[in-house]
Amino acid sequence: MTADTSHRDKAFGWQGLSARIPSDWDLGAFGGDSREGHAFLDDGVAVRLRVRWTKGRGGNPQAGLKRYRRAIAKSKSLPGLSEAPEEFLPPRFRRDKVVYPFRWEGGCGAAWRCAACGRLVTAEVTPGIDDPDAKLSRRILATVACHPDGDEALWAVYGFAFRLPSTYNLAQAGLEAGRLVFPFRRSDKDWLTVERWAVASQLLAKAPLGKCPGEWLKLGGWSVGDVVCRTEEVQDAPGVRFEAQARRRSGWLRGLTRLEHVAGLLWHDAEADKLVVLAAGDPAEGLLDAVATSVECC
Amino acid sequence: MAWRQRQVSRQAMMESVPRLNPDVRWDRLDTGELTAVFRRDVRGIRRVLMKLLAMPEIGRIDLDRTGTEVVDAIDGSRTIRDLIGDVQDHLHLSRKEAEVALLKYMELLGQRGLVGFEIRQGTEES
Repeated sequence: MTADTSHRDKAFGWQGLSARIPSDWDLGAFGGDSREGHAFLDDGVAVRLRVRWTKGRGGNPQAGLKRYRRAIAKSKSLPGLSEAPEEFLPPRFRRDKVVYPFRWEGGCGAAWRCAACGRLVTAEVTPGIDDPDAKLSRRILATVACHPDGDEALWAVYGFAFRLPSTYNLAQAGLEAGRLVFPFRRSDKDWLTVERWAVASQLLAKAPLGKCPGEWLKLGGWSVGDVVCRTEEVQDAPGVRFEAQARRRSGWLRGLTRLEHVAGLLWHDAEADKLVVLAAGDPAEGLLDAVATSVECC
Repeated sequence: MAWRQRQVSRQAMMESVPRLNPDVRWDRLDTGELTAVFRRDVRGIRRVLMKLLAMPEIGRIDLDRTGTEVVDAIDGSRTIRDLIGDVQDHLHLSRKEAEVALLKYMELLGQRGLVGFEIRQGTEES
């Protein structure tokens, strides 16, 4: 799945879920983590896609789904709720899942329990004025996937996409206008950060590319000595590979925090006017290059 | 006279037209960036505080390059939605990012009294 920026649709990826959505839809609200959470996407006028997930409790998937169905039926936010026939969603969607498709006055949706990932998911699509018969909504609903196909999860929001091993969990995303920060963790020592900075030309006017790793580390709260930088091309763009021995700044505890080997890649996509930073604590060989190869930025 | 706070719908907000405050002077620096020069509000407690803190009555706010581009685009006919599109194109941002950035900036300008917003008839709600 690629971050398609055509007028027709583009990829959305978040916490292991993915979907193909119209190019003018974007993530508006999100919360939780890979175990339990929600993501709402809007088109600038109203929320169009609501996805909620939770890790199933195990046991009979039908029983878990029944509880969900009762909760949805009681919900006053879905007036005129009725069950849709099984054929409402294509067979490939229903594979490995117990699915409850439904319709209500404002749109269509589905609740399902996936045998492959164990998640209990609900997705609701509200059609816009350009979708009077909800055909587009149904097509979008059919593209919602609750787990990645392989070992890598797609993360795709706001025209920025990358793939990462599914074992990395998002700690706390910082999605500000112009700056996207995705800090991931696999364990206490195993972390990886992906960042995208907009208006790179203005940033580079203040600090040239070679100085950016040092500036980035200081901004991130690191206390560093020397930063070893090596210029190289990343995704056919001017970039820097950097390494540093650094400690996380923590006031009077500074001397007690662990010295870490930080390695990273930073490059300037001139066409998109973006700076992309990948950094990790003592990463496995090839990890940063693999993530860098998967990055798509516009 | 009863006064009630009007609720503005999202639609009305997006179709509203920002207008520069005519009481604010916009000076252009050699760098091309704008500086807003305005008279501070000196009513009530603010008057006392200004005297105590020896604050000048004339305030100045320097805009950066992006802020200048946004203010330059305010021509009394372009809507908030139009300006979001401009920010999206100029800064290569997604729609949502451009919307969040611009609305935040407009809120700041509005709070400082540098711009006002004309809600078009037919789009407002109360």
